[in-house]
Amino acid sequence: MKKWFLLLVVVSFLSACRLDGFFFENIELEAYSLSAYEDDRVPLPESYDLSEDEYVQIALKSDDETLQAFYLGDTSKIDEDTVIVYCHGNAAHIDAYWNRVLLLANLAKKSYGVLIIDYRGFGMSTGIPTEAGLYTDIDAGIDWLKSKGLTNDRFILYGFSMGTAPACKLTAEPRSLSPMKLICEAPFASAEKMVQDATLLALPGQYVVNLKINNAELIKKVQVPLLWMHGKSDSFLTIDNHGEVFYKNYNGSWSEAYRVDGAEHSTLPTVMGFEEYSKAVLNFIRR
Amino acid sequence: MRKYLLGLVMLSSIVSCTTSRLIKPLDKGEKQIAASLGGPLMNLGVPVFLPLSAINFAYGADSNTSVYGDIHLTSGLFGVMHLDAGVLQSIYASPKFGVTSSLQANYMLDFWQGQSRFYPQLDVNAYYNYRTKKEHFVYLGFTNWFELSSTRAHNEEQAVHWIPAVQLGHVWDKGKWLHQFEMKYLAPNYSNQGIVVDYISLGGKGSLGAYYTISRRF
Repeated sequence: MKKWFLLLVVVSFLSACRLDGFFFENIELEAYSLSAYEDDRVPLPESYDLSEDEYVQIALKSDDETLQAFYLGDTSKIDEDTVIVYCHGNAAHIDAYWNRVLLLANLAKKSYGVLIIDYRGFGMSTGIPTEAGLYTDIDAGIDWLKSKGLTNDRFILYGFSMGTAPACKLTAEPRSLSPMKLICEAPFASAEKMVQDATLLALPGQYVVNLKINNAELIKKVQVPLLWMHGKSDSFLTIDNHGEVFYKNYNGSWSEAYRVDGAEHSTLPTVMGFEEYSKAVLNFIRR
Repeated sequence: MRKYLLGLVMLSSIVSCTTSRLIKPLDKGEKQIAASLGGPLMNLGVPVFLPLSAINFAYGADSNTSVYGDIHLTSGLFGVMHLDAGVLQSIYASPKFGVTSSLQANYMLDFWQGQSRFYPQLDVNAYYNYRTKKEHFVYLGFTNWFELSSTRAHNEEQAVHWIPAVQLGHVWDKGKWLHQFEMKYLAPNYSNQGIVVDYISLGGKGSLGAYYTISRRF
């Protein structure tokens, strides 16, 4: 009996070592810097800044966690505005993506509302990041928007990098609301694809991670229009290994694709040019 | 995300980047137990090798043939049972120089969904006893891993079926105890560009590895 117990303890110990935690590069914060944040990869001119009365910090409940989020726009007009929910990448916190949401908030002379949420464990949000938490936390934001009057026909989901996971998940399998359009910038195909690219071998993903993220499969279920943008020089999630695999599986109503010369993983809006980038997103939303 | 890929690279070394533990056949009836530590070198400000570990058992079936097996401890930490077993055969032997080959079967089984993988491996090493009295020797060899799957994630074609490595090592023979240092050039025919991890390599291909093995003969 003791031997079996010992074996159980050993197996439990062995099983505890997974790489899931490496997926999240969250940094906890005591206060947000927003435009004053110095490590932003998308250096915007000051003309894109919003005044303090043009955005609001909000707290959302998700499971037992308290999430911090920012709504850029007029919360009293959520029942009439088109709103973009921006699902950020795995690095740091909202500050690192603030200029990206400023770009979206400036579209068409500030016509659209934008919501960005720090997932649990990111920035000032409580908790520890998990895959399930990504979906639940973004849906908590969507549910808040719904409570303010947002409807499916004015709701757009935008995912960048890791954020394409909740964006695809909640488009393919909607919860509080079903988006009318989906935008994916620099998506990855799946956790398993990442494992296999790194090893050269056809290894099962669960050899290293319990993550089930599989955008390349989820996108098959998406019927709403898709805008896909990917840097051709993305050395992190290469366009051939991830973007194209993801995009070729889309079978929905219609799509637009931008393969951007010279753009790295985090520099697509900068390399594309802020005006060109904004025009591409705006045309897709308006079409 | 970059830390994540670092971890993935760790995996890559778990499955294919172990040292060549047995170079020369044991004497008939001789037994050997060994522990090895090492892995691919990466640039994290300073060169760092990934700490991969394994325990090896070997037995001299006769003076030209040894059988051996490994338990890979680091992969166990990831919930993957990785065992291997092989036969080492002397192809040519003279007092100072010899050539051996080993055929090895690698088997992996994860504790999560019970998915298994099998990878055959073929090694060829040439060794040179430069001090016959002490039997210290240097060796140079090739390792070859073979991927048998024809498809990978998302039904893509598995294009890579052969992953070679070149190794250069030295063994200090202290009688019962042996100390072995090995440098390996892993996957020298495959680009390591497009991966954010900063491998220490030559010409942007593959990765260099460094390993240490301590063995005890019985």
